[in-house]
Amino acid sequence: MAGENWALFEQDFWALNDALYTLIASSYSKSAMLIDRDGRLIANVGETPSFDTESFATLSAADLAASKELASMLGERDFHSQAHQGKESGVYQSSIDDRIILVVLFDRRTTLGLVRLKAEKTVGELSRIMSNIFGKLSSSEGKLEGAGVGADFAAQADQQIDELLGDSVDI
Amino acid sequence: MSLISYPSREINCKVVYYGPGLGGKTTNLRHIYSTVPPVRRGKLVSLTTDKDRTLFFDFLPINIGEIRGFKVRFHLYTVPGQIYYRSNRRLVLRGTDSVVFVADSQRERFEANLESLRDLFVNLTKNEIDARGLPLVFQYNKRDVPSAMCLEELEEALNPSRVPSFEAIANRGQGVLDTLRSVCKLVIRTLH
Repeated sequence: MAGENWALFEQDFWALNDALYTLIASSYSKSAMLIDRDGRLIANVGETPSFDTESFATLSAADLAASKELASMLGERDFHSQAHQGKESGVYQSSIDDRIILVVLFDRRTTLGLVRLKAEKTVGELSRIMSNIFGKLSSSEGKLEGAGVGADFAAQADQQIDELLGDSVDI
Repeated sequence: MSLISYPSREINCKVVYYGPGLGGKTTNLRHIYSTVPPVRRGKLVSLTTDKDRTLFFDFLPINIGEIRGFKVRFHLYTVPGQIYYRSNRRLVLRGTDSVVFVADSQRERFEANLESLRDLFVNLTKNEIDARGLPLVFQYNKRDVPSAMCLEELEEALNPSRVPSFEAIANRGQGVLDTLRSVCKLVIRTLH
């Protein structure tokens, strides 16, 4: 919701990363990503992708959002996971608590069945960590004030924005 | 809602360009893409029909730079303006931190502007976004066309609360960066 920003702190970040590392090791996958439902990349572990991860995250979120709409037209609450497979590689996506999306990239070293099996086990762990994060954010512990963004931040940001986008064309 | 990641020192914010079909939303993003240095922006992703009309969205990430150790990124999206893509617009609008409403200044598109603005507020409500706290900027595009309505008339009809507004001729790049600068600064203020 507008104005209700959310933050990711060190301990939770590493807990998420650990869960993703365990998943890619046990499923023989190439890499795994966590994306928020609005398409922002939260974590990315494993082999460094050769593509633009920001665009990939956005398209993955859109893909799952569109599937959810299709599910609702069929009277389903959602399709909580989906997979796409090509000749050499594939992608498995799973929605977690309608907040975040787990994306696993894999190739011919493994099978979709194994990826799905291991991913479903990991979803519970990721759900627990995310519930913890959102629990903290609703309490005083997670408030953003004083946590590093504040005071002269806006002034410095304005300056950077003017430097990057300052070349206006007059009408 | 912006995502602030302290471990990776990143802040990611979302801006959605909304407005009637063929009003210039994609043209705004194309101009930004061609103006911002490649090291400071990602790929422009467009999900379009075979007639080059936006089907789902256009997406362009830009990197404002590092501020107090945080990399600040803005994710710019457009929605498809055509009436029948209502559900796509609602999905793109989800979780947004701000909206740029690109109005078409042509008199014959006045009703389309009103319809799109009504649709925006309906979709914000459906996404449980409180419009009162949402940074909103208007852009009056196509100021060069002969049938362009006068600015005061547009402001009165579309922007009674007088949030920031800009005149633009997006296909010449005029007013595009002023609009983006304004909305980015408003979003930054919501991070406090």
